[in-house]
Amino acid sequence: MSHQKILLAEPNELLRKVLTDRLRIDGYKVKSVVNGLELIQEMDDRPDLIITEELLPFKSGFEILELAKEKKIPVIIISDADLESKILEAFRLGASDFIDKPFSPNEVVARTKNILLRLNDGSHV
Amino acid sequence: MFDITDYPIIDQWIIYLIGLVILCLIITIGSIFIYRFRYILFDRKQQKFRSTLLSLLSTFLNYPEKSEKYKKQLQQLVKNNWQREMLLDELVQMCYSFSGVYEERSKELYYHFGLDKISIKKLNSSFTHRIVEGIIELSIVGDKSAYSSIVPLVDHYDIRVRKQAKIAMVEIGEIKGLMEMESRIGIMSNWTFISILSILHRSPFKLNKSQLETLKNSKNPATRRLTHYLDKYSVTYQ
Repeated sequence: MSHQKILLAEPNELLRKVLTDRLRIDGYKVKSVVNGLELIQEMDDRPDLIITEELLPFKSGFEILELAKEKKIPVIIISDADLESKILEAFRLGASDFIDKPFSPNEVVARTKNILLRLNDGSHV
Repeated sequence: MFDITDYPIIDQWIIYLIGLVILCLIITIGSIFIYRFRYILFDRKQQKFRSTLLSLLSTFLNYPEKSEKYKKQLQQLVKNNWQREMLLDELVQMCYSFSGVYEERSKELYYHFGLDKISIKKLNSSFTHRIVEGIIELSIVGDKSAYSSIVPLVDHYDIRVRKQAKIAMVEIGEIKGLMEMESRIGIMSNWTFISILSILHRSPFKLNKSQLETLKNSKNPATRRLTHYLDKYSVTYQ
């Protein structure tokens, strides 16, 4: 069982609930927030990974990327705009992964595991 | 003791009038208070229901091995129309956001609760916003049986209904919808065009050469423009 901390930012209550429950099944400690300001506050608790919706109230997922990069916290961006330019921009700003909507929560868990595994191996920057 | 008959008749009428105004005021304030109170109570009831509903939906989706148990609990929870409407909203949201097994399970619940009938019923509503709502729900769930009910709506008097029906034709009908759109629709707004293009990017499907040629040579400039994009990015070409 993993006990790594994940910070999830999702404004939609249903998606937040489903994703939180799904991540908890795999043993992750999940803290969920609804907007960018709360996300920034919770970043002080040093989560192992941030999963965030691109469009958040108050601060966008892309703005979060810059702050997370400074704190060396990997970030997965979830977005429903699968534009090539947007995906490239996310990776340029330091996103560890980019997930398009519609997505499967199982896929989110698999990607989370991969990133945290690489992080533990020391191969992740 | 106050005796109204001691006053002249005119004054008596004025007193009656003042009394009536005060009575109306009390009734109005009382009604507003009762309405507001009932609204707050109903809102709390809805919030409580929604919270339970979301928990059950989440467990239903995350624990497929116990799906029958949670389905029964959902059935016990969802009893009346507003509760069914709320369940419908949440399931449509899940079908829109999720793919794979989560989407399949959401659709399974949608049909299990007969919510497709509610969506189709909305297409006959006298309120245009309800029709648009119904079209969007059926498009997101991808209910192919609703295709024939949606096609006539491309000739609806309201522009919002026409626009949504055109988009739904492609989203639900895929190739059939795209070809029918080419033969039926004269003008397409930029917004409709972009929406259709985005649907084709989101859920691509393949056209054969003759279908692509038909679209390329369409008299409809919007269809020609759409085909140019499809051809350029090989979204639907086989």
